[in-house]
Amino acid sequence: MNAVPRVLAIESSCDETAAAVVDGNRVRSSVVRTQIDVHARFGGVVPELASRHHLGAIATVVDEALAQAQCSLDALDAIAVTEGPGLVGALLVGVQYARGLALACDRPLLGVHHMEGHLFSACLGDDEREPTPLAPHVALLVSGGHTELVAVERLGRYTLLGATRDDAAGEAYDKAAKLLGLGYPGGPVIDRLAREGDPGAVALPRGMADRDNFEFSFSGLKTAVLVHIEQHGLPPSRAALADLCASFQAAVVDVLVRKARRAVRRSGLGRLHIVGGVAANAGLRAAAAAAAQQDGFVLVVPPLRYCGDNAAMIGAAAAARIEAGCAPSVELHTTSGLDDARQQLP
Amino acid sequence: MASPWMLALDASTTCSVVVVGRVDDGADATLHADVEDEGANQASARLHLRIAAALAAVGIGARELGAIACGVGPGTFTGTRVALATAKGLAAGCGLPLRPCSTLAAVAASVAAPVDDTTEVLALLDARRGEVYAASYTATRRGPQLQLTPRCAAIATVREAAATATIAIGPGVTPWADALAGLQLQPLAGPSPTGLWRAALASAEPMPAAAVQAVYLRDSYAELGVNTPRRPAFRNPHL
Repeated sequence: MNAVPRVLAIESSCDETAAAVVDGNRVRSSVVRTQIDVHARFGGVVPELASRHHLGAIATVVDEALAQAQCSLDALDAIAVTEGPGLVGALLVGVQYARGLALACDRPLLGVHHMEGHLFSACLGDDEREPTPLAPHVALLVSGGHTELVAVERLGRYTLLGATRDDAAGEAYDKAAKLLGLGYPGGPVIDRLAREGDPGAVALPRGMADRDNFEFSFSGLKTAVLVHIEQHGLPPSRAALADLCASFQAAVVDVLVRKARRAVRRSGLGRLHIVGGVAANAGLRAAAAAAAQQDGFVLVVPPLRYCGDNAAMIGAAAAARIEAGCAPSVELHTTSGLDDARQQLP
Repeated sequence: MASPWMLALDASTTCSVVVVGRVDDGADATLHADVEDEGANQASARLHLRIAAALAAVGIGARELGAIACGVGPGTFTGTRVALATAKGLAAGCGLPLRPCSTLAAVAASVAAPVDDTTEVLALLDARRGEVYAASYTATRRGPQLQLTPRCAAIATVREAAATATIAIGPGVTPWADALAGLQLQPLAGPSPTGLWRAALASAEPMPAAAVQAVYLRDSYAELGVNTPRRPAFRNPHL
C-alpha cells in the first residue's frame, strides 16, 4: 500500500468516458473522452448512443490514463468507479469494466457517488495547482443533472440545504439553447454570447429567489424564454440573441449566487465551493468572486479541466474513503442524493 | 508456454453463460459452466462473481488464463455491453487480447448432436419490431462455419437468404415458429455452454480489447428517427 492511496478511477455516468490515476487528491493523469459531437445533432444526450460510445472508448481511455501516469496496474492500491447517479446503460459500462479489471488485478473496487466526486474536484491538485484537503464548506453543486446546496462538514457528513424542484441549472441552459438553436451543450455558447449582451434587456423571472430557503426552480425560466420567442420570434440579430442570452444567464446566476451567499452566511462555514459542469460558467465564476469579496468568504472553484465530469475527482473521493477505512463495494444506482454516500461510511 | 485455460462469456440473450475450459482439449473439453436464465440485463451484479467462482472451481486465478473470449452480439444491447465491458476489463487486467465471437455463432453451435458437416443451421434471435437477428452456419466439429452473414431483417427475407438451412435454433424460434415451416425447430433461451465454447474456439484471431466492438446490427432509436423530438434541433443563423 502506498503512503497515499494510489487509485485508478473510471467515470462513465453520462457523456464523458474518463479515467484517471490519482495519489489521494494529487492527479497523476486525467483522460476525458467527450461524446459531445455524437449527441450534438440530437440536441441532448441519447442514452443508447452514450452507452455504445463508452464501450468503444473505455479500454483506450484507461490505457491512456495509466500510460500518462507512468503507472502499472500492479502499482495501484485500488480501483474506483462511478456507481451513480447517472444513465444506467452508461454507468454499466464503467462498472463492468472496473469489475473485470479489479477481478483480474485482485485489487479492491470502490463505487463512488458521482456528486461526492464533484465535491472533491475542488480539492484536486496537479502540476499547476497544489491539492488541498476537504475543508468544511458550503458546496454549490451545479450541473446538467443537479443543482444543490450542501453543507459539507467532512467526508461523508453532508447536509442537503436545498435543491432544485424541477430542472437543474445546466439542464435549463441546454433547454434554452435548444429553443434558440444554439446546439448542445448549451452552457458554453450561452455564456459566450452573454458577454456580448445586455443582461437587463429582457425581463426574465428569478425562480424562488425571494423565498427564504435554499431551493431553486428553473423550469419557469425556460418557459419564459419559450414565451419570449413565441411572442417576439427568434432574435433577429446577433445583438438581440446576445441580449437574450445575457438576460437568461443573469437570471440563472443571480439566483444561484443569491442563495449560495445566504447558505454561507447562515451555515457559518465561511467557505463556498462551486463544483459541477456549470462551475465552468464565466458569468457564475465572476458573480461568485464578487460576492466572496463583498461578504468576506473563501471561494473555491476548480480549474476548468475539473469542472466537467472527470475521473480524477472520483479517484480522489475513493482515496479519501480508503483512508477513512471504507470497505470496497459497488452498488449501481441511477438516481440518489448525497445521503447515500453518507450512509456508506463506517 | 501459454496457459491452456480459456474463459468465455456471453450475455447477449436472456440466458447468460460463463464457461472455463482448456483449449488443448478442443471442442470436447470438459467445461466448468455457469448458466443463468434470468435476463442478461440483470446479469451485471453477478457476472464478475460468477466468473470468479468458475475460475475458482477449476483452481486457477484470472491471471492464469491464456485466453478470454466474449460474445459480442447481436442480442440485447445492454446485455451485450455487460459481458463485453467485463471481458475488456478482465483482458486488460490479465494483459491478454480478447477473442470476439458472434452470439449467433454460439447459438448455432448449440445445435443438438448429431449433425453432419453440411447441415446448415439458422440461428435466430428475436430483434422485436418485426425483425430477427439471424445468421446461418454449418455446425462442423471445428466449430460453426459461417454461411449467411449476420443481419437484422424480416423473417421472410432471412428465410429466402438461408434457403438451404434445415435447422432453426435459438431464442427467435418460438416467436417466429409460424414462419419457419419445413425447418427442424430447436428453441433455446440462449447459447449452451458447449455452443459458446465451440464458437469461441472457432472465433476470429485475438485482438486488443480496445479494438473489439459490439455487434448491434441495428442503430439506436434516435438514429432511426423512432423517437422524434417535439422540437427538432436547428442551428441559429446568428451564431
